[in-house]
Amino acid sequence: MIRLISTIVASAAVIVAGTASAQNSPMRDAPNPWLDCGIGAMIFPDDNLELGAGISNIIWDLGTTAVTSAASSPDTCSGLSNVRSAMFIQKSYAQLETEIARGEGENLTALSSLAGCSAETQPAFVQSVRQSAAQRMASPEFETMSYNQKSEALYYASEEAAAVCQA
Amino acid sequence: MSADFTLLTTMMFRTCITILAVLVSFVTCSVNAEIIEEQSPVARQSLHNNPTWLHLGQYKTDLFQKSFQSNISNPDFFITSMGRTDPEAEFTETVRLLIAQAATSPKSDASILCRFPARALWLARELGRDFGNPYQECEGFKTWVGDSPIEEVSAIYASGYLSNPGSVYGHLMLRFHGSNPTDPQDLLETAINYGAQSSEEDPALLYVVRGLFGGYQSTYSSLEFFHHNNRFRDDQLRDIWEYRLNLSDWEVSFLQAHIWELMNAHNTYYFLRQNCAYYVADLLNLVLEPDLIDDMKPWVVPVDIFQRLASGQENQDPLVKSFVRLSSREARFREGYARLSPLEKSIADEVLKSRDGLALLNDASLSDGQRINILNVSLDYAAYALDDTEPDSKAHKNSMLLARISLPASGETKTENPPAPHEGQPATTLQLRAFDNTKLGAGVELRIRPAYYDFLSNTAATPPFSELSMVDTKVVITDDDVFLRQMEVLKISALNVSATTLPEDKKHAWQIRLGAEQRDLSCSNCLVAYAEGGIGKAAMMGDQTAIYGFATGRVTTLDTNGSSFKAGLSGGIITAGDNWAASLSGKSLQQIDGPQHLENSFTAELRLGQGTDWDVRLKSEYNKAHENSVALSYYW
Repeated sequence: MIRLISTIVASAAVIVAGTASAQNSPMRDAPNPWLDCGIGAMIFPDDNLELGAGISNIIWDLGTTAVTSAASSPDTCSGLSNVRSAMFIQKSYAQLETEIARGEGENLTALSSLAGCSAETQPAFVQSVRQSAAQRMASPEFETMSYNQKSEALYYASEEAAAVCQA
Repeated sequence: MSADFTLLTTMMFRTCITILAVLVSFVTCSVNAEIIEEQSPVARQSLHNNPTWLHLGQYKTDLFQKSFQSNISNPDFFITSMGRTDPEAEFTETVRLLIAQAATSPKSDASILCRFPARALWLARELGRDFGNPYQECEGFKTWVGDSPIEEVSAIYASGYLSNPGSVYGHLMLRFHGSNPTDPQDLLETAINYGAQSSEEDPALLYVVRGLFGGYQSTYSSLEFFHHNNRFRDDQLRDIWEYRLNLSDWEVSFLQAHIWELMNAHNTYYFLRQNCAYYVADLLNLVLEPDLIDDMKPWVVPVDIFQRLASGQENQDPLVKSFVRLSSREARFREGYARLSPLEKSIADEVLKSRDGLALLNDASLSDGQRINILNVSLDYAAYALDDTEPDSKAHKNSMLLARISLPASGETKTENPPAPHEGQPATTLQLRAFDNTKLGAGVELRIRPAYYDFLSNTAATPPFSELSMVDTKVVITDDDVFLRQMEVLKISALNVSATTLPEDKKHAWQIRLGAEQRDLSCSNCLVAYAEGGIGKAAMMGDQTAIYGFATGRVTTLDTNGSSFKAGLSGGIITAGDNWAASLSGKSLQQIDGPQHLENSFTAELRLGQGTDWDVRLKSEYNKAHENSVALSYYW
């Protein structure tokens, strides 16, 4: 019984924490790729890129374990424009982190394209992403954040920075 | 052999479906009549035998040019049940269905136009008919193509990866380019890859055996380029070379449409010939006239395809518009480190050794430019050498990131491309050596090495100070004897030298050899099978010289000394100049079983000439006999 209560309490805490995180983030299309499409649990076929994988550019394993919201499905997630950004960030975070610190790089340029930036607005996007990344990197929590947490934080920062390209 | 077996299987299959074929022919004959009536006699005779049609179905003829069989192994790829062996039946049925479905709107993804857009586009041109526009009418195809049109196609070469048996000779794939004005290196564009399926589940030895003997099915795949870019350049530390091809708009569209068709095609994978290089080259030959695959060789390696691409012309235009290197993370670090000034280098060494070293960047005499140079190199080092899962390394990298992001934005300095893959020597070696041996007398040695290179070779885009050879075979002819001196099935040496003394920039040097060879230079009838391995260290001495040493072990079939196990030390030095390269190596192995003899051998070799087609080699060896020789090598 104690284990059951503990499980329920822990599950509720996770849901509350997730909701709070979503509420703190800027406005997005619904559903949210991270909260609803299981981006953090996404299984890419990259370990076997030299293997034939059919048409896999728009398909990833969003199996039942990865979709965390009953309202979402692989179909609804794969139709979202921001899911592509989320997937790219999740896959390329290590490269993006270095390029954001430098302020230049092909992955960073690709991220700005995904955010809808033109050649003219790209510098403002990069500046915004750099500013928010500088704040995160300076915080004591940064060293303890996991890869997924850093990716998710960059996703929200990128969405916020995209506003300068759509203005 | 595999082709014969497949042919036999197909003939049996054909026999079984004869009745069905007759029925299908009967059904289609009325439509054939309609089309045939509209065509000239020449067209009527030739369209289903047209090279483009045969290419679209990957049809190949048998040795006697009498029957066809497609390399595509899954029957459901074809429209007709006999489609794999009968290009005429497949042609007739394709045309019949295209005509029958032309008026249908909207088109389903199962329609012939949407399943086979390249067939439809080509037949529309050849027959002067309108079968519809797959770029407008086919939802699945449109989704795959995306919103922006493809303007260019590149052939991509990923340099050899010595840690994976399937990738040691490099990798070949295609990449589409749109018209992104803000990003000519758009990582989000589609890349087309080719590879064996499910091979990752097998252990290395089984993987090699199945790869050699057709134990895998293989197919094309489509994925955004950044997946490959990250994996090749950042994870596996391989340079990528991108060759932009000189294709017309029609050729780009036709190629793209054909790739879509092939997403449902499977082939039998053979590591030596019908591999990624073969099938990507075969794909390109749909639109490129010069044959990219050398039919004289029973093997296909990527570098040979790029040599043909780079030297090829079509309508007096080069096949390749331009080529560029996308350097690996390791290359970026090494080249960036080499560009640092002595002061920057000394500070970078401290920054890279520990987190405390970052304090040196606070020196007021340093400019922001110098700090940026040091930190850019440091971040490349951190990305390729530091283990992110280890807390100290993670904290070290985070400190570098924070220091760098506090400075103004600035990218890396562009460097000049080193020689590209096609600018080095081709993969195959034919060598004639004249020698004088203190035991065997004078003679000649004929050598063929299907692929690829040794320490002295003038290859390009291969790992520095490495060796890779396959089925290296040497036959000796003397006045009174002809014998096999060596058949080395595989040899890989990777010295992994580093120009830095940084703590995480130290990899082991290693070597493996296996095959059969004469026990020593005095022997003509003491062939032993052997497996030999060495592990050790190597170091740079200047820019062009490396020195190495291995702890070496060797297992052989029982030799005439009654020994099977030996262990000891080996080592050497390799150096190169503008028009020459030289190596000096030695090995001392103690017999572990048998009479405990110490066996010593030495080799000194000099390569003269910088050409990619030939060179001259002088060699002096000792292994129970002295042998001096001069050799002429031809590379093709």
